[in-house]
Amino acid sequence: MSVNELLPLLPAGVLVVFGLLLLLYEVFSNQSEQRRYSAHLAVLGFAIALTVVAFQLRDPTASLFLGPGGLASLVVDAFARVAFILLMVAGLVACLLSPGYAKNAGHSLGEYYGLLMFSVAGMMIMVSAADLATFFVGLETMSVAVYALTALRRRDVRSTEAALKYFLMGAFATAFFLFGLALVFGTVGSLHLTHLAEAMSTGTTLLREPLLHVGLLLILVGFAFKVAAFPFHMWAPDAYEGAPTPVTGFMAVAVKTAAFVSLLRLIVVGFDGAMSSQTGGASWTVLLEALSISTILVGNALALTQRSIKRMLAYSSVAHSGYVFIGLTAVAEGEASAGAGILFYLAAYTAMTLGAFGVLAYLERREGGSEAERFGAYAGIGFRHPAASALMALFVVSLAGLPPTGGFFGKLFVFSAALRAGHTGLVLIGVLGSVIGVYYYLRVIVAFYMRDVPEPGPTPSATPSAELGFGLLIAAILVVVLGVVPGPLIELGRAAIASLG
Amino acid sequence: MHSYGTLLILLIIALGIAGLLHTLGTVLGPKARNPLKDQPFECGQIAKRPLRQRISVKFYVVALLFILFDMEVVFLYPWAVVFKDLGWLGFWSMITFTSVLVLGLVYVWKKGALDWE
Amino acid sequence: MIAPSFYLLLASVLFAIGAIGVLVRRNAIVVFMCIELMLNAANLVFVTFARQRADVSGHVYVMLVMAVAAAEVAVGLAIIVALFRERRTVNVDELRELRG
Repeated sequence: MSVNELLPLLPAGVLVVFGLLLLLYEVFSNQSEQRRYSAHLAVLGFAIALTVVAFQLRDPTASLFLGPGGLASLVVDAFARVAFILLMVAGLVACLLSPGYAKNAGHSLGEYYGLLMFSVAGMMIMVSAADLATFFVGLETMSVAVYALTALRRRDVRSTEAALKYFLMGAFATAFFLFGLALVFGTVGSLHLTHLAEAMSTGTTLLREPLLHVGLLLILVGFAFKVAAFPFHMWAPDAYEGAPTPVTGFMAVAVKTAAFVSLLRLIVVGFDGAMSSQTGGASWTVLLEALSISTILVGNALALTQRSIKRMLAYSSVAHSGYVFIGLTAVAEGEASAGAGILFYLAAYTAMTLGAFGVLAYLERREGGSEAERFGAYAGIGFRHPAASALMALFVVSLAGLPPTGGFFGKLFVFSAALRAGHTGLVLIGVLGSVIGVYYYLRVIVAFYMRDVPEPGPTPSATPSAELGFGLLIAAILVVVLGVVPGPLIELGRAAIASLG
Repeated sequence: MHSYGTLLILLIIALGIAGLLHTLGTVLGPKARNPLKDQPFECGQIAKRPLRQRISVKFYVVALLFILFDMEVVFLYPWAVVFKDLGWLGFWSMITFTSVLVLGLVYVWKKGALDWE
Repeated sequence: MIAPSFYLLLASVLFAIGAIGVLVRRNAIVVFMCIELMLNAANLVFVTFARQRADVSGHVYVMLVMAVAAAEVAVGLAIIVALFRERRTVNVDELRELRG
C-alpha cells in the first residue's frame, strides 16, 4: 500500500492535523488575544478539506486497508464523499457560529475547535466504514469528542449536567451496540458488511439463527439512541438544552447525519438492500415502521408542549429523525430513490437546524448572555433584531416543511419515495406530524413578531461577530438554494446511492 | 495438561525466590529487638488523622492521563510481535500513531495537567 | 473444555446485570461501572466466538474495545468530576437543572 492509496482519506487527515495544530496553538500562544484566530484556523482546515473532497468527488471508489479475504475496511465511494461534504459543511458552519458565543461563555477555544474537527473526522470514518469494527472506532471517535464538547463550559452546571446525561446514555447505547456486534461476529463469523449481506441473502440457514437477529436488533438500538428515536430519545432534550448552543446545533445535525448515513449504508449494503418478505425481512421493515411512527408522534407531541424554544427544537429534531426513518423503511424494501431523498433531507436539515440554533446563539448573546429561552422572552425581538429574526423565520419555515425551502423538498422526496414503496399509512403519519410541526414552528414567528414588547429591551451591547453572520448566511443560502433548485443535489444523491452498488 | 505443568514450575520458582529472600533477610539482617518493634505495625494505635480522607482531585487527573497513555500499549505489543511482517507500512502507521500520542502529551504538559501543585 | 454456550450465558448475565444496574442505580459512578460491565460482557462474547471459530479477529476487536473504552472512561470521569465540583453530588436523581 502506497501513500497515494491513502489520498481518498486526505480530507479526514486534514481535519485531524488541523485539530492537533489547534490544540498546540492553544497551549503555545500566550496571549488570549491570539487565540481569537483559532476559529479562523478551524475554518481554514474545513475549507481545505472541503476543497479536497470537491476535487475527488468524481474519483472512482477507493477501497482502503484490505483485511482478510481482500475486503476493505474503509470504502470511500461517491456516497461517502457526499456524506463527507455534508458533515464538513456542518462542522464549518458550527465553527463560524461559535466565536462570539465561546468568548462570552469563557471556555478555551483551541480545544473547542480541535474537538469539533476530531469528531467530524470520526464521522467520516463512520460513513465510509465497510466493516462494523471500523465503524465502531469512528463512532467512538465522534462520540467521545462530542461528550467533551458538551461539557466544555465546566463552570456551568447546566452544561456539565447535560454532558453527564448525554455521556451516560451514549455509553449505554455503545454497550448495546457492542453486544450486538459481538453476537453478529459470532453468528456470521465476520463484521464485514459483505459477509453480513451474504448471511442475509435469501435462503441461508444463518437467517434462521436467532442470535443474529438479536445482534442486529441491539445494533439498531445503538443507532436509535444516537439519532434520538423514540423510545431512546430521553437524553436529547436535556443534552440539547444544556449544551452550549452552537454545540447543540452541531450535535443535532452532524451526529444525526453521520448515524443516519451509516445506517443507510448498513441497510443497503449489509442487509443487501431488499429485506423482502420471504427472508424474514418483513419483521425488520415492521420494526423500522414502528420506530418511525412512534418517533414522529412522540417527537411532535412533546414539541407542542414545550415552553423553551431550545427544548422545542430538541423535540422537533426527534420528530425529524422519524421522517428520516420513513425513508429508511422504503430503502429497506429496495426503493433506492428513498436513499437519495434521505441524503437531500439531511442536507436541508443540516442547514436549517444549524441556522436556527445559530440565531438562538446570537440572540442569547445580544440579550445579555442569559439563556432565557422561553418563547415569551423573545417577544418583540423581530423589531429589535430584524435581520436575525428574518433569518430565523426562514429557518423555521423550512423546518416546518413549507415551500419554497429545502425542508419542503426534503420531505417531498422522502415521502414520495415511501409512497412508491407502498407505505401510504406511514406517509399519512408523516404529513400529520408535519402539520403539527407547522403549528409549533409558527409559534416562534408569532413570539418574534406578533407579541407586544414587554418593556424596552436592553440595548445591544456586543457587536455581532462577522463570523456568525457569515455562518448564518451560508445556512440561509443553502436553505434557499435547496428549496429553489433541488435538482442538482438530488442528482448527486442518486449518484451517491448508485455507488453503493 | 502439560501447559499447566509449566505454570506449576513457574509457581514453585516464584515461591522459592520469595522464600529464599525472606529467609536470607531474617538470617543475615541485623537484629535489634525491643518491645515496641515486636508489636504488630500500627495495630490498635490511636489514629492521628481521619482514616477516610478525601483524595485530592489532582490524583484523578494524573490517573486518567495514566490510563489513556497506558492503554495504547495494547496496540504496541501485537504490533511488535508482527513487526517484521508488516514492513514499512506498519512502521509508519505506528510512528503516526505514537506521534499523535506525543503531541497529546505535549498538549497535556503545556496545559499544566501534570503540574503537581 | 467448557462449552462456549456457558460463556455466552455468563456474558448475557453480566450484560443484564449491567443494564439493570444502569437503570436502577443512582450514583453516576456506579452507573458508569455498570456500563463498563456491559462492555466487558461484549468482550467476553467476542473472545468466546474467537476461540470457538479459531479466528483471531475476535481478540483484535477486544483490544480495540478496551482502548476505546479507556478513552471513554477518561472523558466520562472528567465530566463526573467537573459536575461534582459544581454540585457536590453525583446522584443522577438530583440532576434536575434541565427540565421542560
